Amino acid sequence: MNPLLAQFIALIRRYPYCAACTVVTLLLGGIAWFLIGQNEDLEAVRMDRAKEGEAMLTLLVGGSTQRQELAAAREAARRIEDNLVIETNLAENAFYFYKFEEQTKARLPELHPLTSPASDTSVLYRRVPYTLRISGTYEQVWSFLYAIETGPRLANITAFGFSRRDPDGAGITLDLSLELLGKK
Amino acid sequence: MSRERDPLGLSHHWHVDLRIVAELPEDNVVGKRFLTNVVFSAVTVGVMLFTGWIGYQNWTLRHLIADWEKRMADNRPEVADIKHMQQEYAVESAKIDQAYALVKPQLFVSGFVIDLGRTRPEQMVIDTIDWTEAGIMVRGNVRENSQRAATLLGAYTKQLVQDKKIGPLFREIALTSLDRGAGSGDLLNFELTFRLKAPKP
Repeated sequence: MNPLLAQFIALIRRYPYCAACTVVTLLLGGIAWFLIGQNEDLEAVRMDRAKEGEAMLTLLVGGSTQRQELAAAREAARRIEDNLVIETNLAENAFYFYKFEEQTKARLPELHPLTSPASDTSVLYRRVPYTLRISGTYEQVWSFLYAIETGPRLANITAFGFSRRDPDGAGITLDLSLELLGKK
Repeated sequence: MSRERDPLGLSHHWHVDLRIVAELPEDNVVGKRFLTNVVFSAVTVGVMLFTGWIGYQNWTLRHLIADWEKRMADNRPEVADIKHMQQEYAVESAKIDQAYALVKPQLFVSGFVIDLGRTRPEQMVIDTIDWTEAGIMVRGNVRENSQRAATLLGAYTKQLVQDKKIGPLFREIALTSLDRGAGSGDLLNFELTFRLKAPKP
């Protein structure tokens, strides 16, 4: 037998308790070393899960708000879609303005539809331009203008000219250029 | 000379020391073996405690991960519903954005006209309001002598710039013309120019 091994065995026989303690310590040290490595991996996984979980909780907390926002967006989009102008539907488009004429008692002596600009890049909509002349008292003309700006069809006024028809009278003329949002 | 008096003589109890010292048991108060065992025990207990602590951490981490995974699994249908809702919202808002980009009003004209009427001095008469590429031109007349008319219109221009509703809409509000025109007397024609701010992209 190797003398060194024989010496070692003799030492173990002489100190069996210490030998047992050494074996247990080495075994536990190995387990601890393995667990430390595993804990580092688990900590990384835990942080990932915590991040995902917190993001999920934030999402859930905002869920009801998002539901309301979606409902509002749907409603707004529906209102836009329902009130789009069809460029070729001249009678219905003209009726939209004449309806305001009736409501505000202003007069609409001129209404000219123009050609849509070809530069619009939108896949859903197009601009449908019009020029109008409105006449009446200040209140009537203003009411007509307000009705166009706040009416169901989206309108953008591109130019306007207010003028008094005669220096001393109450009559006003409004020349208006505007674009309505139309269907492509 | 007697034997008792001999200093070099052996005592009556003299014998040969036959003890094997190496094999004798220790007679220290605290034995070497005991101390060795204490040290080994302490180290072993320390390592046991440390391993136990690490094991506990391992268990806790596994428990936390399982907890998060359970919560995520429980809420998965609701999260999927919200994500679907977000996609739908993106589609709807894109429609609104496209519409807004095309017909975004630069100016709420009826509001502007009302605000002009609200701020107009009593002596001032507005004849025309025109919106062209150069800006909005407000033309009219003031029935005052030239000095008072200039002061009145200067003060009115300042008032418009400082007005909370009108001022922020324009980058410049200026009196661009003041003349007596063809008429005579205390009637002065004026022109106010409002230059709109550049639209935000």
